[in-house]
Amino acid sequence: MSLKKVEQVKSDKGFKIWDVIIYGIIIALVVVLFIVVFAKRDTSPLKGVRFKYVNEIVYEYDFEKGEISRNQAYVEITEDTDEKLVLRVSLADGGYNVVEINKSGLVRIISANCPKQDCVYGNTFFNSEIKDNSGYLHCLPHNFQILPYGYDIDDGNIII
Amino acid sequence: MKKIISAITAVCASLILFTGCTPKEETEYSSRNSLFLSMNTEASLIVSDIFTTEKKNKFEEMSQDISNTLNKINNSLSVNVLNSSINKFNQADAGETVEIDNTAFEVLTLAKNVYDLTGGYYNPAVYYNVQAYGFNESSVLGKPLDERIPSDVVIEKYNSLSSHFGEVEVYQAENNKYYAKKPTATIDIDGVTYSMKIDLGGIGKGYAVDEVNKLIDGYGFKYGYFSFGTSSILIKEHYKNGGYNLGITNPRTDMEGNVYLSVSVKNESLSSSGDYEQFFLYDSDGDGVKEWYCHVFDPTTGKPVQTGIMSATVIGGSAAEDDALTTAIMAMGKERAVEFINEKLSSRRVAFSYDANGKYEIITNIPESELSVVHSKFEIVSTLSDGKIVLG
Repeated sequence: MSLKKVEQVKSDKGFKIWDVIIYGIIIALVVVLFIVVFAKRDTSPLKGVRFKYVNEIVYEYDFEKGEISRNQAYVEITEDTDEKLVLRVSLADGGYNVVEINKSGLVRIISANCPKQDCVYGNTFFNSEIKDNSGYLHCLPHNFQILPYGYDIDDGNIII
Repeated sequence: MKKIISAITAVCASLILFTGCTPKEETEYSSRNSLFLSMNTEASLIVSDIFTTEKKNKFEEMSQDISNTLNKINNSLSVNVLNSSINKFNQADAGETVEIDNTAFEVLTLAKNVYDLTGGYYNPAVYYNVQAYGFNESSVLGKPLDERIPSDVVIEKYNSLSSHFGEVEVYQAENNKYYAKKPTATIDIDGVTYSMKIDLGGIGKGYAVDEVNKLIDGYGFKYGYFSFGTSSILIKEHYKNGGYNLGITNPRTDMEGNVYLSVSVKNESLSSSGDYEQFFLYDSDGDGVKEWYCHVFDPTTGKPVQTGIMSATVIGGSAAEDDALTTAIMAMGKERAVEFINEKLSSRRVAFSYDANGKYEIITNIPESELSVVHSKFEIVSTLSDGKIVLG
């Protein structure tokens, strides 16, 4: 490279004005995409669950605060350790569901006396699996649901 | 050059920082709920909205207002709260006048109106009868069932007392205070003198629903519902579907299927009563057939209703009236109930289920296009002519 060329490169500015504008637009796009893709996504951990029987919320548990409310007519604590909480939910006509709440953020129905026991062998909530509002634990024969916080508890159906 | 890069970095950092610090306002509908306990019953409020910070605060404020209102109603109407208006009335001597509060005045006036409208088939003075069968007595639980069947003589005496409910006087005096005067009638059983007692629990829950309706409107919420126990519900709009799909409980739980009928409801209050909520089965006459004893009473016999009507639902009007009306319909029996609905309730939607010797019938003034029978063992047996029910 000639000395003249070296001097020309040295005297040039690092960025032309259009370079700055383009880089600025790219950075702005990255920021906007970041906000749209990440900030709006609900990756929050499972904050809590509510047990719904017919139209009533009969139990509420918050993983930070512990038990929020409990209707003793339906829900009985059968085991409470540092690790987990086991609740027996007694419903009409001798129906029951036993729910285990692992305090690290896992909820499942561990036994029930409904005919097919789909609720026992079905879903489990983990604390990182809240992605949409379609998931909830449901024991159809007992009309019993476990709803995580933030899910749609107003699904347009009411039973009286 | 360094200045430009620094400026861009600063702008980006600011964007990211401000994005993180600004509270994230809701932009989509979500639902919030509050639970209340009043009159020994759980009430549940569900409201859907785009919950901005302002709306969240409003919801919290409204929940507190509702809680206060329910407490006020409970403290006025509960038969167990010392110095409640109804407790004072119940403890008063026959013929005595007691001061009551505004809530008790309104509900007692309403109760008297429905008593007149139904020809006495709604009667909140069956207090002793209900107690005799152990439905409002926790101490009776666990007792042998035969001890929950009082003698006909006792029931007849209690019933003669409740038949004087129309004589209860309720009025506002010139000093703007409210008073209720107890009828002078008394009965004697085993040397003990009894005067009238009343229980406005059912109609009181409906009244509470009506009061909550006013609060929700006042706070400007449009979507959601408020249920008080399993008998009275206020239904607003659903944020997505417009109306709610209301399922009415199958009164016979010995078969699968929780619901027997469904109907769309929007911006209405309603009540439902059934013989399936508190009941026991007992063969009182030794014929090998167990009779059904439920917590809904027939004021004409003083005994639990055994009219064949298993449940009744009234939609529209005030929840307080609806609650009393469902009780009355169950006590009336099939034919009389149809006459009553046709004559007095044409502006409301009414459905009741009837056990015709094991065949489960639905009788209703709701057009078939507006409802769905969702249980195969139930069948609509009535038709409509000019909006009136016609039995086949």
